[in-house]
Amino acid sequence: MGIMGEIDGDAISIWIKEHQDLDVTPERAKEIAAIAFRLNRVTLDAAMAQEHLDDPARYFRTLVELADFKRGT
Amino acid sequence: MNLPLTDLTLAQAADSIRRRDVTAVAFTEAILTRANAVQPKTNCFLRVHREDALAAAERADAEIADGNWRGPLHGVPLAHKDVFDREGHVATAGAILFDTPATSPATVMSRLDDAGATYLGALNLDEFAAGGTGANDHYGRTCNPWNTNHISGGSSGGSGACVSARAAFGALGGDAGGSVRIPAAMCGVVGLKPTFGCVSRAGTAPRTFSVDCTGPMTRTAEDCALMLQAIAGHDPRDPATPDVPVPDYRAALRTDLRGVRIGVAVGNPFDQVDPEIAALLASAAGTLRDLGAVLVDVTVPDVMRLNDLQQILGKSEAAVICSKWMRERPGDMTFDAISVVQEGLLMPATRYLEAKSLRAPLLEAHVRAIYTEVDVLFAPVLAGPTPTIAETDFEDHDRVEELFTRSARFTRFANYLGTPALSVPCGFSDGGLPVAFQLHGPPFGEARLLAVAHAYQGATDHHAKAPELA
Repeated sequence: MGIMGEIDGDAISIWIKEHQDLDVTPERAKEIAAIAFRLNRVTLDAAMAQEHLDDPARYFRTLVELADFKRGT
Repeated sequence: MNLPLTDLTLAQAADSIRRRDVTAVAFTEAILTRANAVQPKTNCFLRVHREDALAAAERADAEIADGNWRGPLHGVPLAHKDVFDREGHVATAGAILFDTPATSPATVMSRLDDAGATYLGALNLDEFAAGGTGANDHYGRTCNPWNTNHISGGSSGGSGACVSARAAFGALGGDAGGSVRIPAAMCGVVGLKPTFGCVSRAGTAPRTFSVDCTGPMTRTAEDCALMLQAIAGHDPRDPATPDVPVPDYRAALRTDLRGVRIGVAVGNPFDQVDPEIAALLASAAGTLRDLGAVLVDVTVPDVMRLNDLQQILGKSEAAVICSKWMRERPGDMTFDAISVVQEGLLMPATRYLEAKSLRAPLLEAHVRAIYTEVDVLFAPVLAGPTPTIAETDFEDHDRVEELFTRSARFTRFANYLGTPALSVPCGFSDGGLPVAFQLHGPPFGEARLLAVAHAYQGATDHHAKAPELA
């Protein structure tokens, strides 16, 4: 359901009400779903391109390990 | 020294105060007069603490007279985006939801206080920092000092406009996707998004948890170095700040670029720039080459994908941060503030965690792909000229999203990766609005970005031009 025309705004609006306890009109639900679903797909594809996914906390160590990375190193 | 006091750079003002050529009180009075004059046209201030500022300046003069000079911010008037806690004051974050004064200061505020800086007041921003234009329906929009029919950019629009208009010698802003660099570019000032974790977020109203960065906005790279020096470094109150040495940023500044390799970003999306902007960027790159740098074209992998991953983190986290208010006080939030986080309601935990897990391998791949070959990366900040207010004043959500995406295509990826990036003014469009280039670097590579920008500013005078406002 990645194409705006195929998104059921009524269904998304009902889902948001049930799961997020928020009122969003079907028209608006359709708009945000179009953006969210595209971003979700990009993320899934990027994740599937990895051999495996590590603990997100590794990010902080990587930042420090690459501190002021110099060319030639 | 014949320049008006407000036209001096932060470094020049600091030197005058240290040598006691001009008192901190005289600088503060001059800046307050200037702020008073430009406020009706720019609306950059939310609050000015005139009496507190003058009292702080008097204390600074007394300490310096007693031989207790604290450093280059001592007695220098600064103002900041209204997201930082100060004891006894309410940080609004551009919203109308908060009324409880802070009981302790944000770490960045206490560090600037310890450095002796004079706090002038709080600066305007998009509501919840959730915008890129400087619009705020609660407090009024910030206007661009170079032409008040144009937007200031955002969300740190008040900070950009205030420094550009010479109503403070420097300001702090916040950047989760470009919110320092975009207004810096539009207002013609230097703006730094530091490495994630370089500057403490403790006591700062969050826009997100994973990509927020507090950074200085100043007229010169040297001024930026002085402000960063005061606020950078480990803070036990912020677990994201590593306990690593803080370099001497001012000492690392350079006047030539011999031996420096600069990668010029090419390919998608960097080639999607209006011809007028492209010509100014090419001229700036030529200046860097004239200073001795070696320029090489560099293709930056996966920028648009990295931008999208920043959106997964930013929208999910902002939806959580705004969650309670969206449910309990939706009438006190504008559509603008709510609309940009609603997508986060439809992002499952699996996607969010994938975006977080991908961060380390994609950061490592990015750094090794770019910075094995070059020292810094040269790129645009914006793809086109700064829009007029009328061009951004619409309620169609698709158009708002398109505007944000177009504005932030060169900025968001650095927030996802956590790498530093600096916006540097490099001239003016045919319409008289500032244009800027951006320098990117590896984690904790702020010193080399500032060094390149300082050399560039030594060879050019764009940063010395002031808007004719008051």
